Amino acid sequence: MFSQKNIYKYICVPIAIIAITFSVFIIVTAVTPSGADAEAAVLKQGSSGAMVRTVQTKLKNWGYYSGAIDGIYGSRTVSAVKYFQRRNGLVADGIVGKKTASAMGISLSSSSGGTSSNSSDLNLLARAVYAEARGEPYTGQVAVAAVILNRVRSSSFPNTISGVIYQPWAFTCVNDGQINLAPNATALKAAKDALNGWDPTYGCLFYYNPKTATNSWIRQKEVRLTIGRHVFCV
Amino acid sequence: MKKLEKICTIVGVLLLVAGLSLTLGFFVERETHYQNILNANHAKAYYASLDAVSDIEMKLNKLTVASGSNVEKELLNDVWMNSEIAVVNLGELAGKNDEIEKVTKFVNQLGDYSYYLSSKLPEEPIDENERELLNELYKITEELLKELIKAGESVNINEGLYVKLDEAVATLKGVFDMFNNSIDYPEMIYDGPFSDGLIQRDAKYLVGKDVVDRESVEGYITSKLGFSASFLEEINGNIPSYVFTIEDVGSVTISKQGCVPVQYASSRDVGEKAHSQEECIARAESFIAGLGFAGMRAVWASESEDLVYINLAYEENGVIYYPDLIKVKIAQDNMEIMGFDTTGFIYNHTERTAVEGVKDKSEVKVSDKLSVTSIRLAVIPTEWNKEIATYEVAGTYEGKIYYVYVDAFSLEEVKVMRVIMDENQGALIS
Repeated sequence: MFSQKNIYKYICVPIAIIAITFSVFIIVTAVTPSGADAEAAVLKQGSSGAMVRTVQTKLKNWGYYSGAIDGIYGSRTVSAVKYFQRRNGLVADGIVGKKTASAMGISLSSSSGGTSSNSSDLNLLARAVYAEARGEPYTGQVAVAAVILNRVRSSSFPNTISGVIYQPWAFTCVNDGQINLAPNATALKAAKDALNGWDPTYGCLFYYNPKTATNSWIRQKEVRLTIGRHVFCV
Repeated sequence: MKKLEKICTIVGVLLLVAGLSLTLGFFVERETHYQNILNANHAKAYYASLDAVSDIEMKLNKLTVASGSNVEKELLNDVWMNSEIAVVNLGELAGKNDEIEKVTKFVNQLGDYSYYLSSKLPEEPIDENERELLNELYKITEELLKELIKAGESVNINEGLYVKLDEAVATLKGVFDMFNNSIDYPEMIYDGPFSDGLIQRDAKYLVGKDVVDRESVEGYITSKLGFSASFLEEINGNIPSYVFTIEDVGSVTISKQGCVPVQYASSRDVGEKAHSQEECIARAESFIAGLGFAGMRAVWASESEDLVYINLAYEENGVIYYPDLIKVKIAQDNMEIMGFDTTGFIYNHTERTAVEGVKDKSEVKVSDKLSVTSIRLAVIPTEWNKEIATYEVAGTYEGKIYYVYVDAFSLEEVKVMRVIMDENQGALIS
């Protein structure tokens, strides 16, 4: 049998430690704003695209970088970023996060795609596309944006982009907070294409992933086409 | 020692209980706070919907006895405005399924129809059939209002309704049931943005064209578009088509009837700009002509992230037909065609007859403030799904670019457009 000392040592102390850790965890989780779920946009080794090219151009102009401006975040870019960070009193980790980007005078958030558009509609649409369809083929991403715009035009839905996206339970990305993730360049391009009139779905109003959709009513809709993992229907 | 251990144990347990209680209290407090905010929003949406539907009902009721076109116009405009408010707020009360759609559709179409009737006044008075339809719509709105009030009485809207999601949806159950079962609301026959007529559209350009098989289309894609594509699926709908994927690039859609390219969309990182907008416009015109679309000329171009978006419209005898529109997206690094969309052309293009009997260009009058830079004849689509011949007047005022469309027969202004001045601003190509 355990002695009183052993009970204290082996039961009470671990319970107290676990309880305190748990409480601290809960409190930390509770007081952290839900916006922190949003994925911080960073550029690091392996990144590519227009934003990387902007970083390379800036570093080259300032004499930190001597490689090619190819939009590929390779080891030479990492070294140049580290050099820049050291010279500017930043943590030299070779990653362009919020602080480094700010020191460079660029924004990585909503304009990570390098768009110069100030349109809030474009940004909101791109966020919905990124949250709902990242990883899907490009046409599939345009199609998701087109479905949202088709709803705006349809009599059966609210008449604004925000009204459609934030309609309760309309898009899972709103419920789970993924709508707040910063969109990547592809999502922005897809949203822009859809706003320019591209509609690969020919007027579809719904889409779902047949492997994960749980609503039975949506399966009764007339399926028009499949792109990637989504089926699009009217 | 034993006493000390005992005290430590008791203190530890008390601390633990206190800590957990505090945490729980914090959670409950925060949850209540958020719930109150959500409930307030939900209640606001409910009351705003109720107010708007109530206003619609009253205005429709007044319309049953009104006879002067000025009063009728005012009442119809009020119905239209309140329907917009009702739709926004009903949208916030939506449930987990599509039940709300029927209600939204009714209110949207009611507003749209009212706007349509109002825009005809005073030249075209409300006829007997339209008056009868308005009366029917009034009766349905009266029922909708009753159900909305009943829904509010059945639960206490102000207390925690939003939290009880199922109950929130159930609140409007009577309204949903009404549209699902007891109401067969009349078809509002008109051509407005929300009319059912737009759902089923004819592809005028494809009329009379032969249906081609998949293999022929595959050969067309290789020879004409230069893609190595693999068949993905068939789409039925307004433009029955074959869809092909182009690996790592995107997809291309070709109509079954007539083997007409309908859409192509692709994306890649565009390198440094090496070609001007003018070069891209010339490339777009020759590309579209190469696909067999004759008489198309670029009418609008805008740049964004080293991509040029170009709109091409059909031109015949100096008249631009904006409904017959094709869009092309070109990368400015190597002038690659990154996308095209010919649906506007496919839906609208038909053999065009000459625009005759229009007033002379010299009679066109626009605001004195506008410094006119060009005037040309253009056929434009209206929101009523019709086309009208206009004079397109381009001009500037205080550094902003405007396009004013003047009815070429009545010389009434029908549309004023302003180019949004950001870095992506486009320009009309005259």
